Amino acid sequence: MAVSKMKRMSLVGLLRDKEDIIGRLQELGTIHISGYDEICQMKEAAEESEQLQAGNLDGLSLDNPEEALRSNKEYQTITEEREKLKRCIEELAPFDERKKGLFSFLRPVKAEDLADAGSRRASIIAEAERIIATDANVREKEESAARIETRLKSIDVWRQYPYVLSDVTSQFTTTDFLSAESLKEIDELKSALSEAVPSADFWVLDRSESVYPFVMTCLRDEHPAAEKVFTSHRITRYDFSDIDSAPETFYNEQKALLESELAAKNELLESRKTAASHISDFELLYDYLGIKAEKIKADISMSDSTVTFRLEGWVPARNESAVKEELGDEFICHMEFSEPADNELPPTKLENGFIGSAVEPVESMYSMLKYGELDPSAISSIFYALFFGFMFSDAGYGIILTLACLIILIKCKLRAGMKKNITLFLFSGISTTFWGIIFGSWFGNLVQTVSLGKFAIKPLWFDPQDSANTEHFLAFTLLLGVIHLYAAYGMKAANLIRKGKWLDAICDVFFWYIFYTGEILFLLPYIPYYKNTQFCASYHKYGIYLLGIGFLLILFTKGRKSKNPFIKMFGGITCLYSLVDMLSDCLSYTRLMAMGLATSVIINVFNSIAASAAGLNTAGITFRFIVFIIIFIAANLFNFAINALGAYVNACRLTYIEFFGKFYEGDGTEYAPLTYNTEYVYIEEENSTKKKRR
Amino acid sequence: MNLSILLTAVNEAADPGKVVDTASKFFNWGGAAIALIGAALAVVLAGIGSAIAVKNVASAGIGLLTEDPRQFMPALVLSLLPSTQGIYGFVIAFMMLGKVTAGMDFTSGFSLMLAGLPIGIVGLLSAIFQGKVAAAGIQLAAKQPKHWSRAMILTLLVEMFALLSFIISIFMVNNG
Repeated sequence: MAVSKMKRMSLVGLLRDKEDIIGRLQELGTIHISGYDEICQMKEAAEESEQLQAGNLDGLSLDNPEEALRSNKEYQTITEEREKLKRCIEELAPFDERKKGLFSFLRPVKAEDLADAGSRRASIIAEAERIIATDANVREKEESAARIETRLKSIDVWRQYPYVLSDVTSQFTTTDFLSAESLKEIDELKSALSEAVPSADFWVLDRSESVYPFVMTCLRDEHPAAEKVFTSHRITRYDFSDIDSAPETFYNEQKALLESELAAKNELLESRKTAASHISDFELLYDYLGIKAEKIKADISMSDSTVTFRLEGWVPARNESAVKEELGDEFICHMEFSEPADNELPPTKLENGFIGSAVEPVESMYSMLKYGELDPSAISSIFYALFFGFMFSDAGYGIILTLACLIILIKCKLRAGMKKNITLFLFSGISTTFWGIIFGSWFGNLVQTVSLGKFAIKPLWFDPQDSANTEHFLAFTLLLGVIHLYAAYGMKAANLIRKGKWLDAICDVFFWYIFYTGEILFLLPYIPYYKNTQFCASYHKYGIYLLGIGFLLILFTKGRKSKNPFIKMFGGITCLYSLVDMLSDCLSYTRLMAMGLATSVIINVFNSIAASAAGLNTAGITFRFIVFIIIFIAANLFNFAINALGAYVNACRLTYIEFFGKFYEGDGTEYAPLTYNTEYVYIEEENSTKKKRR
Repeated sequence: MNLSILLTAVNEAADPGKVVDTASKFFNWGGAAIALIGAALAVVLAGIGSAIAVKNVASAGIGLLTEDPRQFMPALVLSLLPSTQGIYGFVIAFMMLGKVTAGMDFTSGFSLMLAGLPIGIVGLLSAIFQGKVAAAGIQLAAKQPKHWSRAMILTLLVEMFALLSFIISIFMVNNG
């Protein structure tokens, strides 16, 4: 539960060693290299505070690295090649015969494999380009087949026409190929044409495919008049001017052509299947080039003189000696490590144990923690799992979720972020099981349904679906909410105390505790469950006192930092509005009840639907059970998915708005060290190198 | 033929004595029917709201997928969010069905019906509005794929009101 302490690192080395040093830094994977923006900020900050020591940051060139990247040919080539590889990997994925699960896993490889892929770069890229070309070919074939099919459709109705199609136009006459949906329409056209185009001569062919094809010949001079008439009638015109054969012959030719195009397309698709064997090469090279691209990026963000280069970055304090030893032994370079200055913002590296780290992805979706802030991961993690479980609250679902997460965690090598997510779901699964047992929900009332009411699993505490317990359930969710909110204020106090602001901690947190506790006790009789209880009547009185004391304390302290005497005195009056805030925050926790009830009610509904559909209550034969099980599984899959999603987003919301909203500053920079950022493979470390590194 | 039946019915209804008779019968025995109307309103209104909203978001989501097929997760999650109102309506309707008895009197039937209204009405409107926010979230996912989760949280702000109505509906069902 901590944010790793950072030290600023400045390194000056010889230009001839630059590439090797970057390579070694990447292997170490602990140095966060300052980018352009950060260096600008550092420089500005240093100038402002007049702490600019001679040569401290002056040596850093401020050429915009992003522009430098754009103009770097090697980087551009790498980017283009990686795009090609990615495209191939994605297109070949359906033909990939290696075992794949729901999640994408990293594949272990040796460093030599990567280097080998690098050495075969040209041939692998050529292969990728060949596949991309094949794809273009496939698309071309598909388009051409579609064109031929349209042509076939239009010629199909004309197959009974015996003459060469392009042969019909003479010096004096023009011929149109037309079709109408009924003979009546043709008659109408005839009568319409009789005046304007007296020379019009019709030949109506036999009905074909629900249309009547017909040929109209007229004098060339009269043709424009005929075209005008065509537009006002529901007829289709065909253009056969480029077909130098009779329709039947042309039809057969085109059909043969279509078949050959389709065969060619299938052949190409087949060849793509065999190309799938290259996919692991593509992945290797993709990651190899990715590592290379990172190096180039790092290279560009450093400034060079004629013989030396300079690097600015951040390194976790505990890695300082390792970096010194590793680089100092091997290279001629000068390194300086210093504590971050007050106006500098080092990147945030979260260092949490098994429990805390699980919630890190959820946290970073909100905002990266600011360096120096107290890391709330462990507490957030516990509350997150607690709330998720409460909303999902079914022991059956919980066990499934827990087991699934356990299997994935044990069996598969996952990316760091995914691993954390799955761990969070593991905790949530355990919590779901816990609440399921507490509220007696094992796939809802499955046992009761199947045993036709003979057996039922009793809840450990109470059954929230029983209407007698609704108020109790609501009161309990509100209590959980108050605990969560108080924990948030506690985090705020801890943050202030850490920074040595004791007075702020007392005025901005402790007084508010008094105020809010007063409010809660005051409102207790209005909560249905506590209404008219002896317990409540006495606390209600204390609530009024606490509310009054809290209000006065806040009234005179809230404006303490203002220079305006009026605000200094009465700035706290706005705290009255916070009473509404607190109330709405607490009410937000009723979602726990709503989601919890929704899950269990829906399972019960599905159980009874499955039971009545299978006719379980009539006679217990095997067939009925099979029907029951099928409906049960389908319905529960749906319910599981929709409620897990609901529980996930609502737990996120409670964490972000109600919890983080009270104290979390955020806006930190993520610690992104120069390392092997791979997407498909990970480099298996050999024992000897591991030892050496330690 | 049909007309004559209708006329007879109108004539019967126009007879004041008979109307009173029918009405009193209804007040005596119509409790269950009224309660069922309430259950239907809860599930139908909330369901309509969710259907409209999901349709809007999912169409926007398909637009997003045509641009970038890898954005399936954001499209799916944002489309699913406004479907909760329909589920709340369904849960309330089911809880109400459990309370309906054949011979229930008008007053208890009527109060049970009222229990369906909070989630029905607020579910209908909040789902549609939530759908609008979620559809805007799809736009965000299209332009800033990394930050779509924020859209998810903002979308939940609208759902809060459906939740409050859901809770009140639960209380009304249980106390009705």
